[in-house]
Amino acid sequence: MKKDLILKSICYILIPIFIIAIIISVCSIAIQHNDNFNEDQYYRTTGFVAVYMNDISNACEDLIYNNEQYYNIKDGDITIYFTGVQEYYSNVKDFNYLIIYKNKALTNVELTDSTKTIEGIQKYINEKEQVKKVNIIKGKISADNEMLQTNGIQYLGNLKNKYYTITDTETTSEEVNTSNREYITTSYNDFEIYSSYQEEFKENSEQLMILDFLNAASIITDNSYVIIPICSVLTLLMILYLIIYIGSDKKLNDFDKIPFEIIGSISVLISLIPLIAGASFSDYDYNMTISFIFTTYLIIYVVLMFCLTTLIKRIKTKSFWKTTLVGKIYFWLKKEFKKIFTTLAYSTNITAKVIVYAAIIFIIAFFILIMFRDSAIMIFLELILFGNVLYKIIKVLKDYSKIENKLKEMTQGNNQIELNTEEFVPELKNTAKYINHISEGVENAIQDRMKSERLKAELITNVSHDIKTPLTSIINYVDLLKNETIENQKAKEYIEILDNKSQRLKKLTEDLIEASKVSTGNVSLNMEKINIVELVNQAVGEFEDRFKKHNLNTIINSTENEIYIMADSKYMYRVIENLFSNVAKYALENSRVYIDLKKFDKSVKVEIKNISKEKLNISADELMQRFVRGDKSRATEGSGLGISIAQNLTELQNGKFNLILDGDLFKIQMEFELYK
Amino acid sequence: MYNILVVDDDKEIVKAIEIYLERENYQIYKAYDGNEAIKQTEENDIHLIILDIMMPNKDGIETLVEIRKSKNIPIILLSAKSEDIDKIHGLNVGADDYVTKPFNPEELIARVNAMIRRYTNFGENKEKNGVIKNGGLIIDDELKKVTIDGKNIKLTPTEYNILKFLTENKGKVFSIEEIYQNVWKDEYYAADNVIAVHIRHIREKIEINPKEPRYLKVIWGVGYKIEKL
Repeated sequence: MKKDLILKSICYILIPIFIIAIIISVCSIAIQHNDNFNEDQYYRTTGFVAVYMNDISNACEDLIYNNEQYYNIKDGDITIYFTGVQEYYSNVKDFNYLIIYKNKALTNVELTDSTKTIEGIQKYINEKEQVKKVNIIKGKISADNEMLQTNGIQYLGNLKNKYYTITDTETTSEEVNTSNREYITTSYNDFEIYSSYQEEFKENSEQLMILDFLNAASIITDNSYVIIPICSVLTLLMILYLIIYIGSDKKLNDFDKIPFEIIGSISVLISLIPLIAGASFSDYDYNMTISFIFTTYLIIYVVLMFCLTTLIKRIKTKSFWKTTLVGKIYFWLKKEFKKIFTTLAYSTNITAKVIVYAAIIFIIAFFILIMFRDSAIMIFLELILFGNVLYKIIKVLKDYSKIENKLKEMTQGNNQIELNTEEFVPELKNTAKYINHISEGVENAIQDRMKSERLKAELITNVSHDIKTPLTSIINYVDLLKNETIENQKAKEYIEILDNKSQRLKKLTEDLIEASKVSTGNVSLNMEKINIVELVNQAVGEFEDRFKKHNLNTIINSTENEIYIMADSKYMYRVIENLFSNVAKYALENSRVYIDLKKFDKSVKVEIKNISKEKLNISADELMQRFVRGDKSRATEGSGLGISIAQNLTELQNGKFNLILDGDLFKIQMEFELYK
Repeated sequence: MYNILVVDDDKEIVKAIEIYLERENYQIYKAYDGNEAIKQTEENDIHLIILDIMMPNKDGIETLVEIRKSKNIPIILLSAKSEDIDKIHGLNVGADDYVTKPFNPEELIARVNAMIRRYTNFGENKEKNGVIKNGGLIIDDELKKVTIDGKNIKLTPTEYNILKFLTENKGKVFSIEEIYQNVWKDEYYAADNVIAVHIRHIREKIEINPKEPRYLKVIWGVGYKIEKL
């Protein structure tokens, strides 16, 4: 931890130094080797213009105070003064001038035979080659330098001056009593100036400063090719280290919780302070400028580092957006909107929901209309809004159709497919959930019922099997008793009863097994093409004797001799057998039994009608239930399972079974699909 | 004198069967479980076995399979299970007949008698002209005599004709109409149950249990046939 802190500090200190080194190196290379450094450009700077005009101004002053030591000649009315070469001083190279003020002229052009006259000097200056020329005649500037041309007048202000005449040359300026002085007031209109100069880079003060600085930092500039790569790599490494190190503890201090916009704004303001201060500097002082630049650089560096450090921390803890004002507002709005929409979406009153939703859409649509009324954005936004509404409506309709499908499946007894409530719009989520619950409940009930039915069937079968074994003994020994010679008439009678009842018990047990199996569909059907007319005839043949015994006359009415259906031959006979057996047991003696077979387009209807012996005082539904018989006393033989078995077997073979009681008319209707 | 082994864990049932069969002059051997049955079969000269399926230790099916490995004597299975699948299973593993509990004593005796007759007379009948044979059913067309497992059956002429026609075409199913046309040599007009009544009468005469016929089978909704044996 401590090591990290030291490393971190070293990084913070070294990074600005390295960056500065890189900047200086790059600059030096750029200045030394780059043509981008357009000299001409630099002569157009105000700095040069200032220097040049300063020299002119000095020369003018020299002329006013015509120096006795000047070498001079007289050209007509004008006296020409010449400042000697030895006194030549100027920041501007090859600076030649001729200044005429009233009847005096001052030049630094060496006086030769050709330059003994004003014209001669003028000619000399104007014809000099590879120099720039500036003429200021009565306040008008004509110059090769654009800056001078446009800004010269401003600098000529210097020439508009008060000069005092020196009456006593012996007295030093300190001792001069200003009250005794005489003043000459000059204006630039009073001067005629002809000048020429040579452009040279070094003469520019700003350039000079940079060069001086570069010279001072010669350790860096001389090794710039080494420094740039090394410093760059080191700086990058240090920045990388800092990026990795900063915020690695994923902790935010109070500073990191200040909204980033505020930190950013303050940083910008702090950075601006030195720049504003710098703008107020009027003079370019070398040392001051350099120190100013460094101070500014350091301030910006520190501010920037603060910003970057906190930024990295925020990004690393994934809290950047949370710590910005924009983010905070966004999250707050989002939360509030979500709250509103969830309460809307899950509120129970759908009508209210739809109204509120519609209202929101209208408000948004209205705002878009107002805010973007003249632009194409409006159409775009309205289209988005419309699309959104349309999508929602389609989604709702789609979800509704899903629910409808599910309900359809449920009515067909399929409860397997569960609705995925996640896919539903919030408004229909609860509906889907409730339907799932109902479906599940129904399915569970069905499964439970099937299970209990199956268990019941198994129980009945098992119990029946267990009953059968002792029953076998009973039947056998009763039979053996019957064959014994018994004198006692009563005993014989009793044995007869035992025989009957044990036989009935046998039948009952067998029927019970069959009924339980058939009612649970626990039978394997062997469906084949059979002729129902033939079957009925065969069955009537089988029952002929029993019917005759009760004097029942069977009448078969069939439209055709061959009507084919798909059924299990054996179980189909069981149906008819049970029904005929019923007829034999319960039909009124000496009556007719009608068996009608009617063929329709797609089905065949089998109808068995007979007149009941007993008064039927129960309903058809009750009669079809297991263990219910027409005579409630249960006096007659039979298990009461016959009709129930017949019904179940008919339905297992895809037939329809119906029992109709009309007074004493007992009617069974069955319908089967025709074999195709 | 034929030796019959009765196997059932219910002693009273064994006793009852013994009483019935002794009346028919059979020598009875008794066993109360599978292992005892196998032992008895090995020790004695048994001609027929009545075997209960549901027994402790070794059940009837296992016993049957084991006995069948060495002996080819007729075995009648006895069971409280009446489902078709149980019957088919029993017959498939080598039983000759299947009787469900509670059984009719007369039916059991009839089946035992038939089985013994068939077993002992097997291959005895010499080929004769005009004799139609199917399993235990023999129709002597010259004498107009029908025997089933060696027992004489009295049939009316119509019944005889129907049975003869079906036996001649054994294994084939005939509808009422077809039987009518072939036996009466006449045109069949309307659905009728005369043939059905005759068939039932024949079954009652030739079958031990007319409801579970062995020879004359009813294919409900299709017709009738003599099972090919």
